[in-house]
Order: sequence, then structure tokens, then C-alpha cells
Amino acid sequence: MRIEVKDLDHIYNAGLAYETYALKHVSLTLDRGELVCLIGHTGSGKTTLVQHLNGLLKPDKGQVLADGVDINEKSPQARALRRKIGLVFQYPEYQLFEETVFKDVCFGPKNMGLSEEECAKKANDSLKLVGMDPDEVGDKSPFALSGGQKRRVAIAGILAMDPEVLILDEPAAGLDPAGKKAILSCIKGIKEERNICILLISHNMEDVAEIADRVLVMDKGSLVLDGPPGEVFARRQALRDMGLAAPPAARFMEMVAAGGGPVSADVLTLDDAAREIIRVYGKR
Amino acid sequence: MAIKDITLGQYYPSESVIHRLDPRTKIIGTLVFMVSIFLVKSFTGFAVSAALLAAVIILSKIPFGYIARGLKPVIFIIIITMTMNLLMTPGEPIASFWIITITREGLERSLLLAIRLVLLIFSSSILTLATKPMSLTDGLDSLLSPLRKIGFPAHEITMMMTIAIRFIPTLMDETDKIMKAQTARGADFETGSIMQRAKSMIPLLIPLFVSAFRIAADLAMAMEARCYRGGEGRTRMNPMRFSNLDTIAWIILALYLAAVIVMRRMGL
Ligand SMILES: Nc1ncnc2c1ncn2[C@@H]1O[C@H](COP(=O)(O)OP(=O)(O)OP(=O)(O)O)[C@@H](O)[C@H]1O
Ligand SMILES: [Mg+2]
Repeated sequence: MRIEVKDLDHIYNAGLAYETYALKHVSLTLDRGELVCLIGHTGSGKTTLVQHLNGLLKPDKGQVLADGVDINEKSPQARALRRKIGLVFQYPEYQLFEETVFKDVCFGPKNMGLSEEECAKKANDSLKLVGMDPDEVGDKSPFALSGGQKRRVAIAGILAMDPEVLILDEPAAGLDPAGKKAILSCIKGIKEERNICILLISHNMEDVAEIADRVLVMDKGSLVLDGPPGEVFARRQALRDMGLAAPPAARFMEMVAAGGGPVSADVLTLDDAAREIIRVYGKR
Repeated sequence: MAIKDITLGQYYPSESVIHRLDPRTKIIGTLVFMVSIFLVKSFTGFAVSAALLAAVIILSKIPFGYIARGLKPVIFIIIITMTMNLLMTPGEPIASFWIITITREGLERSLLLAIRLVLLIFSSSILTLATKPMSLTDGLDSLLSPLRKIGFPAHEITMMMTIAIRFIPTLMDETDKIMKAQTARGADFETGSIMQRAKSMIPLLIPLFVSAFRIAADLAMAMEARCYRGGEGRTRMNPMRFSNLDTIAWIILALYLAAVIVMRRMGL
């Protein structure tokens, strides 16, 4: 599926004294098989933007097209398209409600009108995909799991609906390092397994540098940068002006270079940095 | 989403004299005014009450439309009671057609009743429009505190009200978020039979209760960490003080009450 956002505007509380221009002329496209990261300072409109992508918020101006069809139309076709765009909210564990993990993951597919067996199959597949064993946790109460596990169950709940575009709003927020790592590797796994488009909102530049195929940067409601991580993170000054920073590995290499070390600061991840240092200083 | 449109605690911000009055003055003033309305028995009396209320409305700088909005939910009741009184009161007939007879007493009674109800509603609307919910509960706390001597948990009750008011917007936000999250999972809150719709509330209500318990536990923990304990000997961050404004208000209120009683005695 291909998503096109055209000249999107969104105003909260339009007409009231405290109206906020949350999105201004945002245009972008998302393609199958891409892993796109969306970054931006707090309040820059990231959440607002992604809620437009599956029709939860309606644009005040502009359009969201999925395979060329406006998803905000009233037609059954647009409705079917909206269902293909799965959105995992920030802190999705707060949406769990069923008695068992298994039933909760089945909620989405059941709403799509699938049969019991189909639901069960989708639930099992999705739980496995997020690294949970359906036989082990399936009959547990979702409220008895750890924070990171709850979050993976919630993501499985969306995956069970077979989305062609998966959007995750800060999926690693508030987790410990191990939980973060588990979520990230689970996202990579989803991408490899299903080859769908994944849009990820994140505040962690290290993670972004590591997994993104493409990076989008929002600032005060506008989409200001859009390109491969190398290109986007090379715009150090522009990022700093927006209250963002380059990945720590890049900043470290920049400091080494500034101190006279003969290294190139043109790296993004820890692995790159290590390789560059070894290249310059050689193996002992 | 519709949930955002519900305005709660209808406070209308402004810097007027009425807004600046001590909440205790406003609460007592409103109570006295309401009682006085039941003492008044004539149109002349109501003219005096209405004049006072009109003065307060003008001073408060609240647009009249906001105050009149309070009538909306009860307009039906007013019309029904007016019609009942109009048709059912025996006395000197002034008009009649078919089986309906309207008497002078009936007309008078129904008009007085309507005026009384409207004045009651307007006065209570002004109290809530011109007083922040939080100062309202502070005022109540202070007014009810003498009852603590007879074991009435005044502080605890007003504290509960304060917390409830404080967390209404938080829970609304939470509801909005959960509704969106479940909608993204294909939940449908708007269509279907009553039974279906009641059932579709489960995915909304359970997470909402879980959130409410979580918030309650966090708040309790935070209060305990700051050594909160109930009423006795507790001081305020913003102590309430009567000002000259309040003195003036009390004097006007006393004069008004005296006038009402005198008029009632003289049968006016
Ligand atoms: N429901 C709402 N009502 C009114 N204003 C809102 C609402 N939601 C967001 N806003 C405003 O819109 C702007 C963009 O908010 P948004 O939540 O999209 O930011 P964000 O980039 O997701 O931030 P964060 O990184 O903190 O999650 C902010 O200024 C915010 O105050
Ligand atoms: Mg956000």
C-alpha cells in the first residue's frame, strides 16, 4: 500500500481563543517495505499527524490518500482501507481490557468479522511475531504481565488485523533498556516477516539511526526534513535549532574530530563509530 | 470528537468585582438570595429581587447568554408547572373556552412561580459562573468546618469534591485516548442496538477504570510523600480573606434581606 499525504492542515479548537495550528501544509508519501522514523520536538505535531493516517482525526484542509483513494470518504472501500492502516498508540498497554491475552489480541480481527478459527490463527501468529509464546501467556490476564510484555501484547493486537501500514507512536517510551531492545528487535522482525510499511515515532536518535530507512523531521507543525538518516543527521545545526540532537555516536565522533583526531565524523551508529576508530587507529 | 465538547464546571473567567468576592460571601449570598425568593409573595417584591440580581449580573460582566443557558434543561419543567397552575387554580374567571377556564388567581400564581424558578436558576448559575470550582470547594470547606465538632467530615468531603473536579479533564482526556485506541482496533461505539452499544462500552470502561485506579494510587502516594493528613491544623497556600468588597457585599445583602422582610410584613 502507498500512502500519500497532501497539504494537510489541522487546527485544534478552531475558532476559539486557544486554537492551535498543529499541522501546517504537511505532504509526504509512504511506500511498502519502508521503515520510516518520525522525529520532532515535543508538541511538534507527530501524534496529530499519525492520527490522520487512519482517519481518527479529520484534516481541516488537505487529503490523505491510500492507493489513490481518500480514506476519509464515506464509502466501504475507504473504510476497508482505513482498517489496513494499523495505529499503535503511545502507552498502548492502557487499551487492554479482556480477561485473557489471547482474547484481547482477537478483539481487532473479531471486529473485522473474521471467524473464530481465523481470529485464533491471527492471534497466535501475531503473538509469536512480537516474541511471546501464545501457549504460555495466552490464558493469562493481560493485567498480570510486565509493562514491556503488555506493550508487546498491545502491538500484537494491531498486528492481528493484518495491517499493510503499521504506525507506532513512541513504542519504547517508559521501558527499561531490556524492554526497549525487545520492542525494537520485534519491530525489525515485523518488517522482515511481513514486508509492510512501518512508521515509527521516536525520541531516541540512537534507535532511529540504527533502524530507519528514512527519517522525517517535524517542527512546529511543519515537515521540515525528509530523507535517509545520513542526510538528515548531517544537518546538525538545523536539528539543534529545532531542539533535536544527532545520535550519540555521531556526536562523540564529532568531538574526537574537533579535538584533532583524524577520524571522519560521518557516522551514525555505535557500530560505524567503532569501525571508523579501528580503521584509523588500527587493531592492537 | 463529541467528548471534547462537553464543558464541565461552567466557570466564566473574568476580573469582575463579583469574581473577586470571597467564595464564602458568594455561597452565603446565594443561599440568602434563594431563601428570600421563597419569602417574596408579590410582583413588587420580585421586582426588588430581580433588580439586585440584574445588578449582580451586570457587575459580573458575564454575557447574559451564558446565564440564560442554565434555563435550557429546566425550561420544560417551568412550562409544565406554569400550565398546571394556570389551568387548575380556582378563582375569578377572566377567560374561558371549551372546557378550559383561566382564572385571575391562576394567571398570577403561574407567573409568580415562573419568576421564582427563573430567579433561582439564575442566581445559582451566577455562583458557578463567577467562582472557580476550586474556590467553591475551599469556601464550602471553610463554611462547613464548624460541623467538624459534631463529627461531620467536612474537610474530607470537600477534599473529595476538589479531587473529583480536578480530575474530570484528566479522565476526559483518558477516555478520548482509549476511545481512539479502540476505534483503531475496529471498535464501534456509535451504531447498533442498545444492547450492542452497551456491550461495546466494555473495551472503553475497563481500561478507564484501570486508569482511574492507577491515577488514584499515584495521587495517594504523592500526597503521602508530602505528608498530607486531614483537616485539623491544616493551613492553606492561598488563605481566604474577606476584603472591603466583601463588607460592601454583606451590607447590601443585609439591606436587601431587611427590605424583603419589611415588604412581606406590610403585605406588599
Ligand atoms: N486534543 C488536543 N486538543 C488541543 N490541542 C492539542 C490536542 N492534542 C494536541 N494538541 C496540541 O497540538 C500540538 C501538537 O501536539 P502533538 O500531540 O501532535 O505533538 P507530538 O509531536 O506528538 O508531541 P510529543 O512528542 O510530546 O508526543 C501541541 O501544541 C498540542 O498542545
Ligand atoms: Mg505524541
